[in-house]
Amino acid sequence: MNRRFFSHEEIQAPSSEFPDPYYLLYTVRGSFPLHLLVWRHPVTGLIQIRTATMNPLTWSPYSMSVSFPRTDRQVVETLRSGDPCVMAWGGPDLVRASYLARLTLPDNLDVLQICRLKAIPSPYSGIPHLIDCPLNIECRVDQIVDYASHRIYFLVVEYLSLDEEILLLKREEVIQRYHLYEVDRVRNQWDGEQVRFGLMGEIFQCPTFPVGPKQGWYSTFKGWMTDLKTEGYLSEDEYAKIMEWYERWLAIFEDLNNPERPLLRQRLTAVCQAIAWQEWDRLHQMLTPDNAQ
Amino acid sequence: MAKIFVTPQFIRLHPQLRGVSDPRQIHFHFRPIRPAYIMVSLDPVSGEVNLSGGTYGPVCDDPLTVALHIHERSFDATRNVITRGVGTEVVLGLPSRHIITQTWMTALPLPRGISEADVGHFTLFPSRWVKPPSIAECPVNLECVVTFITRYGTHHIVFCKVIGASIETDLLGRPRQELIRLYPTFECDDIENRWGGAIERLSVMGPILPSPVFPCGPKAGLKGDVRTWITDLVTDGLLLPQDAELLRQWLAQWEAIAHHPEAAEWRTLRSRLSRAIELMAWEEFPALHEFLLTAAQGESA
Repeated sequence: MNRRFFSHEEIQAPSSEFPDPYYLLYTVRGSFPLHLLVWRHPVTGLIQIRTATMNPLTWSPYSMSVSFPRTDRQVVETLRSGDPCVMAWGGPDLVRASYLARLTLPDNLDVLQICRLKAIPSPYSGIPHLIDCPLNIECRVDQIVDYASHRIYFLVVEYLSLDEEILLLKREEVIQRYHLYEVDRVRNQWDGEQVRFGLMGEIFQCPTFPVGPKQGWYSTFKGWMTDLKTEGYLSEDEYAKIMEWYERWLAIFEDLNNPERPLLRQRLTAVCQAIAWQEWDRLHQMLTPDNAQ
Repeated sequence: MAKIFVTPQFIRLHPQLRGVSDPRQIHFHFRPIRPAYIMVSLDPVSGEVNLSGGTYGPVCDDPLTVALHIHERSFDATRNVITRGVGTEVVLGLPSRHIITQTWMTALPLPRGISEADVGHFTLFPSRWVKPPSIAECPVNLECVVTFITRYGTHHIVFCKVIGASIETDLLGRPRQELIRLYPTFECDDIENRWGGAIERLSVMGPILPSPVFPCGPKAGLKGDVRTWITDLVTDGLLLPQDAELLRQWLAQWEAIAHHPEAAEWRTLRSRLSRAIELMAWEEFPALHEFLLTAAQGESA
């Protein structure tokens, strides 16, 4: 497969070589989930709304971050540490509203009216949830990080609301309702800059045990091998041999000149390969007493 | 539409509901789907290649920087990236729909030093700007340097500045709609297997939705403002010059008092401008003309 390399400068610079000046940037960047961030002006108390993309942080505490250019005065001057805000997640019906909330409009206008969004009070804070959005995530600004041209807000989730009818829907249906994604920016016929939004598409299932532990995520090598033994993929002897190699490998791992190291690495790699690709005959063959000495 | 209100603690308990067959389904209703990567890093002791999966998000476009969140139990990524700190070089391969199984294999709990690249039959090739190699099976590889790390809850948040990238030549110039259906894959959700464990599901982007353009915003799009928008509407005959003039007057007055709610005209002007821009945004130009005409008559009276 042929590859072409691009430097950071080439990725950043608008290029006439491709269909659009931003083509290369978005080809390497990918699409990000997009929402409407809702908060209040600290002095006037008026509702502020901005379209933003999201970056996941942690599950404990459940948190996400959003970033804005530091030149975005409306955000930088009014969203402060400790402030409550709502991440409102909409779908195809909110494309126009999402675009309008991205435009530079005069300060302090009724942005709910301009975007034709309807709000309901939150039972928890003074920031309303948007009726038009199936999912609203109520947060508090926990940390602010300035990085290069952007200000990054770490948001800790405090409460959430969901349209009741979503509860019973399967993922395949849910992804048609929300979330929107920012796909790219393209140059329009007037040489302007247009943002494009998209929806999630096909879903693919990853393998499960025996191609990995029964538990899935965050298990251990020993746990995986035990699962394989329990389900009859490995005999007691085979399990013992693999664990013997494993323990020895860990013991000599940092001894890079140990002559045992390359052979052990080769054996463990071959064992893991055979399991991961479910080549059971090959696995049993390499674990026979003759081959495993 | 009735909304249910819940806490983060509630959704972390994987709430169940009659009629919902998968115990993880409701939990994932509350979690945005995010793009996945395969990170290539080097063991600090042996130099052996490690591949680990995760999801990333945006930090800024210039310099292009993405954020990773590395769980404290992601031992390889923690050792190879977090303990080495700022300046560590990594490659982020963006996986495609054609390597779903191999992408999952990067999450296997392999012994330290046993490479997921070997186990998953990945093909590695030299990167140009960083030491860790890139992944041939990924259409795009981002060559990155770690520029910021902070501990946050159960994770470390890591900013990776993209100092270069490689792209499959065949893909260059292809339409965006085609590319987003190919890569990157996204961490969509988990469903439950018969042992009570997780089966991960990945997804790719679907349709690009019709993009809002002038006249529901300025011709300059994101680079325009309300004044240029008004001029554009006049140029294209969607707004009468006298209507535009009134709008510009209101704008000038509003800019002077926008941050002074105590001003006498504040409430009226805010209401008028908000309504006028709403009608522009939703392309209701006859209604806009009527509204401005009525307002002008009211002012002259």
